[in-house]
Amino acid sequence: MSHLAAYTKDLYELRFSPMCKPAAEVANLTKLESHTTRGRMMLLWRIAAGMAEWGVREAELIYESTLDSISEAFDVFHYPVSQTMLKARADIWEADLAPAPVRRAVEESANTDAGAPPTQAETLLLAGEIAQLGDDSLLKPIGRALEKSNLNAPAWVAQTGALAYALGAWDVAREQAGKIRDGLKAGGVHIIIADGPETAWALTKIYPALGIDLPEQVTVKLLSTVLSEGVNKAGGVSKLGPVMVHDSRPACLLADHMATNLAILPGYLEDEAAFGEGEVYTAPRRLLDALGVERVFGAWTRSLAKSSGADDGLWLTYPRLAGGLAGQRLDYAAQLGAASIVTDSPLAAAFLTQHTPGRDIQVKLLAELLSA
Amino acid sequence: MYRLQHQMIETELNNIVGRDYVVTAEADRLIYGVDYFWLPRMLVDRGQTPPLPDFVVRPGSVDELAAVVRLANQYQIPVIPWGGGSGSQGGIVPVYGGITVDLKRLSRMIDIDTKSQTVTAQAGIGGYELECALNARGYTLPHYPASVHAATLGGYLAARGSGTISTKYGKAEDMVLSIQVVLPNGDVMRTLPVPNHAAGPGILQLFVGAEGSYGIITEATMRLERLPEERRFRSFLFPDIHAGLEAGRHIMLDRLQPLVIRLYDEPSTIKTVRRVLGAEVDHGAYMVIGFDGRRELVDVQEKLAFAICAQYKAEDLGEELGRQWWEHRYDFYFPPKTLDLPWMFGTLDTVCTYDKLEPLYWGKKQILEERYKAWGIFYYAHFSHWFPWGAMIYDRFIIENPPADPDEALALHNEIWDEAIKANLEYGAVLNEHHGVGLKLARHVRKQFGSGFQVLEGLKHALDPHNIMNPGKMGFGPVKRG
Repeated sequence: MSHLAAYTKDLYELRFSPMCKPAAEVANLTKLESHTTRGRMMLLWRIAAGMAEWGVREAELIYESTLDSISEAFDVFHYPVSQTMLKARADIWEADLAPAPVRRAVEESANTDAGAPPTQAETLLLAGEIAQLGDDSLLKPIGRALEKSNLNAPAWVAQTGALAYALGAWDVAREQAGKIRDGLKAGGVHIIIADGPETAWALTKIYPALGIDLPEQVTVKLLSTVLSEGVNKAGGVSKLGPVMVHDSRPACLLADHMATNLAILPGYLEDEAAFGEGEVYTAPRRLLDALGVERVFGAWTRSLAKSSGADDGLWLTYPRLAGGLAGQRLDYAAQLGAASIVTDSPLAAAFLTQHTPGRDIQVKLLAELLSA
Repeated sequence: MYRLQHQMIETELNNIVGRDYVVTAEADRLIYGVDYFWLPRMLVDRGQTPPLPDFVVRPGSVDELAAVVRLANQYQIPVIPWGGGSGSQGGIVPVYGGITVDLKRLSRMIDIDTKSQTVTAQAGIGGYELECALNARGYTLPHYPASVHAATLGGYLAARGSGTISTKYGKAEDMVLSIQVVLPNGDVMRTLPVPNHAAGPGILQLFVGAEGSYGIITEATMRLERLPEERRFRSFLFPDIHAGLEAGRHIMLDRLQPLVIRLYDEPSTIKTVRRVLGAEVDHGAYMVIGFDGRRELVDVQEKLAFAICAQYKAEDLGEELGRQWWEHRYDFYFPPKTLDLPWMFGTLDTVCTYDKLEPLYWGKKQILEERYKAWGIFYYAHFSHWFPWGAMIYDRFIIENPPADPDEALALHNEIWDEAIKANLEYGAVLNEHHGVGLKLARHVRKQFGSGFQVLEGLKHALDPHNIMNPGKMGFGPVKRG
């Protein structure tokens, strides 16, 4: 039986609903109806119900997207849209029908050597997002920010399995997760600081789903939480101007609550908490508020934050679409009057930064504000 | 379509809009055969494929769209405009295949004229996106349809839509000042810059509500309002529907300008309102009424309107339920609360003058409940969208266990609709108030207009001699070849 079959009832109920269209990140870029949640849910339902089969284009449509947790958040009743996407991708992967760019991204991730974890570290920075980036330059500001918070947390740059999991390659994800678990056991780690929301998502949500148990003594903390606990006024903040906080898509899957019915009312901006609640959202904002930063927000914030393009592997599989999403996100921030975007996600920070040339906006990783 | 012809047309479309903006894969085209009409949804539900376009094209400019239309004329193949795909009448169903033009790349907001308080935008802009952008500047396009999250500005106008607050601010056709249209021969025209004049017939309203039959709306200038200083709601329970209707009529004829009046009949009051809002009511007719604007005016309007409600023995239920309805008004359109298969259902909304309103409601209810009793039909209604001369009945039917066979289901569906439309017309109402005609009601248009249909037909023949524009809708037939 397919993984998707377990969601046939949800797909049945969702298949004709056009209501999540404003949240359709990729469709709002391509203007193609088959990229909307409705388009995909109808397709998935027909496949789950045995009325259609996977073909080349059908598989592509499921990958020309993030996991679409934004539609899940926008939907008043929060149908498990991201789960249907995950299960569909797992079916596609297992049937060996994944599009070539997806296979390439998974293979490259699988071939990355995780290296050995730091030995005997009580507290460890697990840099899963940085490992996916393949560029550890953002480790430096994170390290300096942790130092300023009087925390000694050596870094382990390793693929967590989040990318492979999001792309449906659960066999690869399980193997990568197993290596992380074994490394943590061997190192006697008690506190893992996740370098970004995707890493935290892997440790707290994906591993249980894959049947990978972390060592019992281990506690997972978000880097933004750790930094907000030790915050002091830092230099460089005054140069930011008004800031839009960018929340990555995995954050949505870590939140306590997604958006409420108020958040989908056109023009509603009264209470930012209506757009999603949880430590993953409040920690970076708490830190910025403590630093005296002026924040701006619009309707596409927290669980409704549109993708930077760097979520769920899209930047590696369909970089043109991902680049379009990054551009839209930067332009949106500028429309809100933001001079800077600050994010707690190294993936988002790096990918958005790549698309700033020609635009009058800067992007900062949250840790960079404390590292000056 | 012959394979070679298909390839030739595809090549020409690629040359006009670019290869990235032409799709032919069935996985992409499938959704373009399905809007919110029960019929294509039923076909998908039963494992069938609804009629699909041969091509989906996304023009990036009005010039590109005009070139696509000229090409379609050359080959005499249908052109079907697509906005948000949220219509409930099958207006986008490509009955005879052809080219579906998705207008969402034409989505620029062109200008906000703060002095005249108007906005000019391209037709493919999403309702939600437009409203958010206007709200950020302190304005609103006071058209709040249930489909605001999916529908486009062009769709609002093409189907003469109504929004939740139309009772005060009017329907889409009341808000439009002028439009740009691509005509069936590919010419681009603009209507006069203002809608009210004595400068000849009003061409504007020929295109508004024509659902693409006379051309494709590509741009519109719409009237705006400032965001209100105050917006308040109140709910009442009337002893019966008659008392509620009389109170509503009285309020409208006294020109108290309510933002909204939603009066639910007794089955709705009992079943829907209690279930959805959790309000403990078990009889009577429930009304939500709202006012907005300057605070001092709202105070006066409320005082006078509430006095009228009291005069008709309404129980004041306070502000909370009305506020709840307002804040949750879109919940009803998300699954699982929205109507869906496997049920058979339809919204039969129509509008008539006050003298015919109650007879029509009771008459249609009796006809449908008696004739389809064996099918366990559930008929219910509310009255919203009030005018100084009449009101809309938003009535619906549901059959929870329709025939499994798609052909039998469709036959029953069409029979119920035929009965409902017959009642609408016999009681002096019209085919529809705000959802449009589409495929669903196309077969009734000729009868509704009577000898007036020759006006529509004559215009169609003059503008679109090959009948390529959205064929099969509005009482017009298929493409005329040769």
